[in-house]
Amino acid sequence: MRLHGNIESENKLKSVLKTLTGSLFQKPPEISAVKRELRVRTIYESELIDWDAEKRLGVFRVSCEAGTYVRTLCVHMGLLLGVGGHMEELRRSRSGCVSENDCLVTMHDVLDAQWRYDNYKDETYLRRVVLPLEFLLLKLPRIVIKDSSINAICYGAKLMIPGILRYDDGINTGTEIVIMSTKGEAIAVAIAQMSTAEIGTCDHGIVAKTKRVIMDRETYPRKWKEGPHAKRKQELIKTGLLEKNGKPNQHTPQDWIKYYNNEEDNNIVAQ
Amino acid sequence: MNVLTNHYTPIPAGSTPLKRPLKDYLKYGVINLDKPSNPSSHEVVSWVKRILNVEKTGHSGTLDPKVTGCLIVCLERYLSFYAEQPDWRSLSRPRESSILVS
Repeated sequence: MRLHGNIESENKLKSVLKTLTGSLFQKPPEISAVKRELRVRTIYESELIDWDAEKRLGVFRVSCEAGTYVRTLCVHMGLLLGVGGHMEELRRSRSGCVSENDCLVTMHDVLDAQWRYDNYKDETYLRRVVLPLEFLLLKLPRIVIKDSSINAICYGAKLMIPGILRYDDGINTGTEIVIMSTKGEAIAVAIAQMSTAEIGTCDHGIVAKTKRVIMDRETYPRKWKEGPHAKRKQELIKTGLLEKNGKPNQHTPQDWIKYYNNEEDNNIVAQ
Repeated sequence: MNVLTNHYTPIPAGSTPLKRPLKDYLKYGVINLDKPSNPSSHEVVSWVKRILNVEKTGHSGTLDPKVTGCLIVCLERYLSFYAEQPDWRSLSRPRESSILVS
């Protein structure tokens, strides 16, 4: 950041920087991709790294909400100091959970990696440059599910208790979780409907509703409609003892009706 | 992690993230790119698309042309996930920026 006039001391700059934390009103600059209206953005942290009084140049580090215009922030600092200022240079050192220190690659790396693969069939460089997307989901709590239930999740099914193998601590109702396979692949991001304690004690019910499926369909084979109950249901429909949509009719055997309660109650037998 | 059960049948399909076949690896890939100064985010992303011969690329948030630093470039599969969820990006984790002298 460059200031347009001299200021008394470095401390003054520090105090202004401290004033400009928390929620701030910002109006996007004239040339911007978003609508120019006043909006509120939060600055979580800021820290003055260096100040050169002679050149009137300062370096500082801010941790801010997405969509904050740092350019506007610099102008505001200039206004508060009463001398005016503008942004000289900016570098994003962290985006979400990925920082500069996590396998940062340059455009040259990407180009060289592809060249090496095309000419030498050497994948190692390319595999180093590109990261698997699981890398971005590391911070969310996880639930490991059985291989047989993966494809159903890929088709948008809700995750039920019988599909779970392992689960993380710290899951609450409404928490965003990652559903992963035993091999470590991310299958979907979901919203938890049960907490960790409930998953441990309950023996039926919905654990999570899928928010976004990541894995492609048919990566794993389809495994539903293969259990004893589903097989019998298909047979009953075939022989006309059930309606086409699976609803009971007058010919349906009594034990089936007793078992079949309704879909909402997860087919739990009425006590 | 807490164990609910250990009873399941492994299916020989899929593979661990780091050992996927290269085609799938790129499909499920993201790049933590150091954006160079001057080209816009949009240009950078389309260059990566051309270099790697992938169908689609997208990024995690625009950086102004003069700004450098982290730009997460998503390839094909993760793209739709990231692009549709601006709230998710802003709510869960703050970003950081630092300003350097010229």
